[in-house]
Amino acid sequence: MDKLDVSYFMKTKSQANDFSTRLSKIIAHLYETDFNLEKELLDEFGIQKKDKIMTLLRTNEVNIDKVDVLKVFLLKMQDTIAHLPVLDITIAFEPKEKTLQDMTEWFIMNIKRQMLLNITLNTDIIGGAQLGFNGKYFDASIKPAFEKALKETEHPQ
Amino acid sequence: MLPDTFFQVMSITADLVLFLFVGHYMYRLYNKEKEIEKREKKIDTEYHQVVDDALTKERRILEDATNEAEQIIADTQFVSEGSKNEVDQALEDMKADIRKEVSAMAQSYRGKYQDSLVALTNESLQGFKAVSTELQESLQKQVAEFHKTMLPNLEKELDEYKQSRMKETDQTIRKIVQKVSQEFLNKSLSIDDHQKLLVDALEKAKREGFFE
Repeated sequence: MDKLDVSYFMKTKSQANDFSTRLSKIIAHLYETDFNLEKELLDEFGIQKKDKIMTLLRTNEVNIDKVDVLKVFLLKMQDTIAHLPVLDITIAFEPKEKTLQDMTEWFIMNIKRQMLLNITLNTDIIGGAQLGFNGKYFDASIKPAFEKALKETEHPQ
Repeated sequence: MLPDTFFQVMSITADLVLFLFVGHYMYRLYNKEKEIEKREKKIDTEYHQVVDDALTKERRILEDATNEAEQIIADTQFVSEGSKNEVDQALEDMKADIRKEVSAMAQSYRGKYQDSLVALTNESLQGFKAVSTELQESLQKQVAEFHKTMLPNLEKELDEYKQSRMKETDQTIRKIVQKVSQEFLNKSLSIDDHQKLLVDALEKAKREGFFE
């Protein structure tokens, strides 16, 4: 199986955790006699995500009648989610779903991989973003420029 | 016929004798009664005489006693009046003497008291002057000491405190200005502006090689 693209299902770290928990519940029901995959998916994720997961299963040629194969695939999904890189990002506004979608797409387009966003809200940074990734920190917010301007106003040269 | 006459004579004789006896007895009884009356009269007369004598004597005794008592009372009143006048006079004299003596004593005490008061006042005044001088000297010494040692330190500390407070105030004002400005700028940006700035930030991070 190729690398799975799970970007549709989650943008943030908390969404990823929730998704993975729900997958665990489904995996736990796999060997029950009256197990019905579509019903389980519908109950846990809603119709749109259920359809997307079914498409993903088909694309990856997973035989949904074979419980063992299905289990391997779901575990792989969980593993993929667990290994997604996490970007700590501080922004100055409440992001809408579209903003999250745009950011996720930007990473896939520009970095060529999906990133889970661990978002913190702080209006003090005014605009832009402060980023933390793999132990590194990058301040691309308006705050440093504003503080510089403020200092220059206080002590004009 | 004889016996009847006899009996008749006998009966008349007996009646006669009985009549005589009763008459004699009645006569004696009458005499006795007369005698008793006489004796009663005599006793009564004697009794009245004794009573009259006693009354006369009593009256005389009472009269004598009354006279004597009146005499005594008259004498006593005379003596009492005299004594009263004498006592009154003596009391008046005593009163005058005492008044005179008290007045003299009061005069004497007043003089002594005034003298003592003046002496005490002078003594207290001198003591107070001494204490006051001592206090003044001590105070001058302390003021001089304060000017010499504590005042410069105090001025220095005050200056430092002022500087520190000014710095704190500046910092507080700066923080307020910064916070308000940040809030204002943040609110003045639209969602599109924020999104654009966010993409710019990601682009900049990419350019800096942050994601590698």
